[in-house]
This record gives sequence, structure tokens and C-alpha cells, in this order.
Amino acid sequence: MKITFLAFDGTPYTVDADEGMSAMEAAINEGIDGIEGDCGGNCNCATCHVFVDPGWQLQVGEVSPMEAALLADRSDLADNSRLACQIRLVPELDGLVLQMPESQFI
Amino acid sequence: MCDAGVVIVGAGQAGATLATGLAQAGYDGPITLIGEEPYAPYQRPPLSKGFVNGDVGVDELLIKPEAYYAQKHIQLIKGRRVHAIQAHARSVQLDEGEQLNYRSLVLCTGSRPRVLPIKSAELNRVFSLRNIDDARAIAGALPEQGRLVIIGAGYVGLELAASCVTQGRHVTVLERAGRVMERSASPQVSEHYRAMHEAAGVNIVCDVNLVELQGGQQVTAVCAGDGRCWPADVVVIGVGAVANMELAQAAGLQCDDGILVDAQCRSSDPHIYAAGDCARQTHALLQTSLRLESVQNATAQARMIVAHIMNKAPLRSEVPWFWSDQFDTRLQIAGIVQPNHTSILRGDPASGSFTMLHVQGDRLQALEAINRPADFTLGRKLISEQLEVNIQWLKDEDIPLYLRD
Ligand SMILES: Cc1cc2nc3c(=O)[nH]c(=O)nc-3n(C[C@H](O)[C@H](O)[C@H](O)COP(=O)(O)OP(=O)(O)OC[C@H]3O[C@@H](n4cnc5c(N)ncnc54)[C@H](O)[C@@H]3O)c2cc1C
Repeated sequence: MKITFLAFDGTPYTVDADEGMSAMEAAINEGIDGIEGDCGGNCNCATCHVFVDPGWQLQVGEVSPMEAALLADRSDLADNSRLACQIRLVPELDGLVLQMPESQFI
Repeated sequence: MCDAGVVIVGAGQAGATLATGLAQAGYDGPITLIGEEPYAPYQRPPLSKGFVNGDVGVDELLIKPEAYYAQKHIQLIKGRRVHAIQAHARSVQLDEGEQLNYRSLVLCTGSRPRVLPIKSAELNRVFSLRNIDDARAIAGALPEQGRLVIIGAGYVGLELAASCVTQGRHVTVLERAGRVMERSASPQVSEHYRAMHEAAGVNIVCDVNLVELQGGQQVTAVCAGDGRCWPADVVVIGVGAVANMELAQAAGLQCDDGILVDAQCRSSDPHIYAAGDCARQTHALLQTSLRLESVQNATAQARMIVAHIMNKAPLRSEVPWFWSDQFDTRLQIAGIVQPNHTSILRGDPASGSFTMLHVQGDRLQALEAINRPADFTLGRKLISEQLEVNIQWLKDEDIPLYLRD
């Protein structure tokens, strides 16, 4: 399946991902800049913050309380904020588009 | 003369964050990342958790895929050790005598397990747990129903105990202090963890003065001064870590249980920085000198150095934080828990989810959140902003720790 990450300047990076991975793992495996994942994808550090493309917001599923707590601490929080490590890639998400916030580019 | 670039010694959490951060920030000189281990930079936290159980593979530990470094023009040199720094000549010496010049040198050498001065510690099947090879050796030596004795009830020891008891091993944890996680957790949290481990079948023994390991070639038991012995197939010693600062000391850098660095992570030599487990820094927010061993500290300090090398505005220092996963319970600590704080309980420990808040005067200084992520993130904000707190409100679970305006 394919996932597209948009850099904060809009540049698209489309990667191949496997079902069952998290969106964070898909980005890390392809060395996409803008997804840090300091804690290794454990929902601990909020360095894999993404904005879900409005067309995909329903499909990516619910935000858990753990994730919501971490997101609440982000100054760039928006309605479509998610942590990429908490987005599990199911077949319905083939083609998913995620925008990465500027703050994750050093 | 061409730019000799940034040379980073130690390819772990801090070194990798620094090298990739510099490349992403557009640093245009050479970046060289040298690590003595045979692996590309990887994360250590899973070693005591999923990796030791075989739930996680080496590829999943990597901080970036190995090919990433070359793509970003980072020269990753694996399996080689830096032996000396010639600070006056601005060069380092690799094993086999090779010299490498630098414009800036960053020491990210991490820490190593403290050696326990105990008789027969050199027996076979006695390990410590710091790297991939250690974790593999422990997993390989421990039979299905085997008896594992862990010396030291710190995070690494307790996480390993939780992983192994869940796999059906017989686990005993021996601790010299009066309670588990004594160095960094409050008594209430220690008690909660002791009870949790015991309920899962871990035999926890505190206040024990160990004097020797017994065995022929292989270890067979761990013995205390009062004559008690615990039979063992495998022993893991987890009694803390010491900073890898010998390179820095030999080069004349100021060290004191860590390489001393300023707010930008510069050492006493203007061309040398240090970050991560090996560095000691006066924390800008907490105003105390700290040598921290956490992923957050390693990555935050690495990013401070990126900002400094790239002439960007200095990064604000964050409240230090740490996590530990044991069984299905997540502990998140923010700030530094100290005995002179007043401790406030929020929530009911019996429910498996509560927070200890540590206050000095009317300011929150530290917190320990057990399965309470909202308390962790909101409380961390309270600590960072040093807002006045109302103790009654802190206790009231219905009031969020931090209210947005
Ligand atoms: C089992 C375990 C579990 C942990 N769990 C957690 C956790 O849950 N949460 C958390 O926040 N933290 C955890 N930590 C701590 C965290 O992993 C460390 O704080 C972090 O790795 C420090 O990063 P570093 O870059 O300073 O050091 P390291 O990651 O240790 O990297 C240093 C590297 O430098 C190399 N090196 C040293 N000297 C030289 C030399 N002269 N030449 C070449 N290479 C050299 C070392 O071999 C090593 O590979 C855990 C640590 C361990 C061991």
C-alpha cells in the first residue's frame, strides 16, 4: 500500500508500506524527514505529529486517551492532529495523505 | 582549507539524532558518525522489554534505516572505536592509528553498566544489559523454565524481570536498598511496583547485602552475607551506569561524574561538545547539575548542539522526562523526584492508575504518572511554567492539572 507524507512546504513523499505497520514506521523505514519518533513508536514523546488530510479523517479511526493527552501538549494542535505511531495501516488506508508540521523539521 | 566538519564519537541515541539533525538542517560540511558497535544506531529501551522476548527484531530497533545515513551524506563508521582526542590539533585517533580532523567534535559516548564488586562476578552466564549482544546473550542462556536472578531493582532490572516472568521464567530480584527504584521514584510508587511484581510471581528481596556468586564455570547461585542463597541459571547485574568519559578526561576536558557542559552542551574546550548519558549539565529550568540517562535527554541535548552549530536560536530546555513500561503499566516521570518535596496523591493506587505530585512551596517540581497520560502531559506543563498550584485542586481528580485559557 502507498502512503503520502507532505513536508511542511507541500513537497510530497510517497512511500510503500505494509499492512499492520504504523504510519510512523512507514515514514521511518523510508527515512522521511519530519517524523522523528524519538520514543520508538510508543505513544510517549509526540515527535511524530501529523495532520491528517481532511479526506481521510474518518478512516484513520479514533484517538486514544494516551494519544489525546500527548497531542494536547502540542502548540500546533489542530482538529486533524494525530500521532503517526498510533495510525495502524489497514487496507482501507491505502493512499492515505499526512501532512507533517514545521516544528518537526530541525 | 576544506571544512573538516563535525565528527561524532558514539553512534547511539544522541549521536544519531545529532547527525541526522545536522543533515536535515542543511549543514554543508562533512558529518562523520563513529560507533564501536557493529550495528547502525539503535534504540535501547526495547532491549529490556520486547527485544529480550523476541517480540521485536533488530531492524525495528534502528533509529533510521541504515541506508539513510549514506543518502544524507553522513559517513557512518561502524565497529570502530575512537582511542584518543588530540584537542590542540583538532583530530581524533581511531583504532589502527587512523587520524580524523574535525572542526567540531561531539562526544556521545553514552554510559556503561556499573561493575558490581562481588566475588566471582566473572563466572559464565553472568551478564549486564546495555546493548543488543547483551540482550541476545541473556535470552540465549536462559532456559524455558529457567531461574533468572537479577541484581538491582532499577528500571532495567525490573523491566527485564517483567519481560521474563511473563515468559514463564522464575525470576528473583535482589536489591541492596530498602525498596525498588529507590534512586528515582517515590516510596509510594516503589511500593506499587513491588506489589505488581510480586502479584505476577517475581520474588523481590530488598535490604540484601550480596557477597558472592557461586558456581564452577557457570554461575549456580547468588549469596548474601547472612547466608541466604538464591539458585540461578542466569544472573543479570543491573546496578546503574557510569559515564563513558575517559576519552574526555584524557584530553583534559573538565569532568565530574560526566563531561561538564554548558547550556549549549559545550565542554570546557570550545570545539568539543558532549550530549546524552555521558554529559553533565546544569539544567536551565531546574537549576541543578544533572547527568541524565534517558532518550529525551539524549535527543534534546543533540538538538541543542544542532541549533548551536547551525547558528540558530538556542533551544529552550525541557523538563526532563522518562518512561518505563513494565507489564501493562506505563510509568511516566517528569522532573526530578527529591525527598525534600511534599508528595501529593492523586487517584487511587488500587485502581492501577494514579499520580504522585511532588511540590515545593506552591510550585510543582516533579510527578510520577502511572497509567495516567493526561496527568503526565498537563503536569509537565505546570512544572515547566512554574505556575502556582493549589494543593486541594491537585488532589481532585475531576479537575485537570492544567487548564487551558
Ligand atoms: C536496557 C535499557 C532500557 C532503557 N529503557 C529506557 C526507557 O524506557 N526510557 C528512556 O527514556 N530511556 C531508557 N534507557 C536509557 C536510554 O537508552 C539512554 O539514555 C540512551 O541510549 C542514551 O543515549 P546516548 O547516545 O547518550 O548513549 P548510547 O545510546 O548508549 O550510545 C553511545 C554509543 O557510543 C559508543 N561508544 C562509546 N565510546 C566510544 C568510542 N570511544 N568510540 C566509538 N564508539 C563509542 C557506545 O558503544 C554506544 O554505542 C534504557 C537503557 C537501557 C540500557
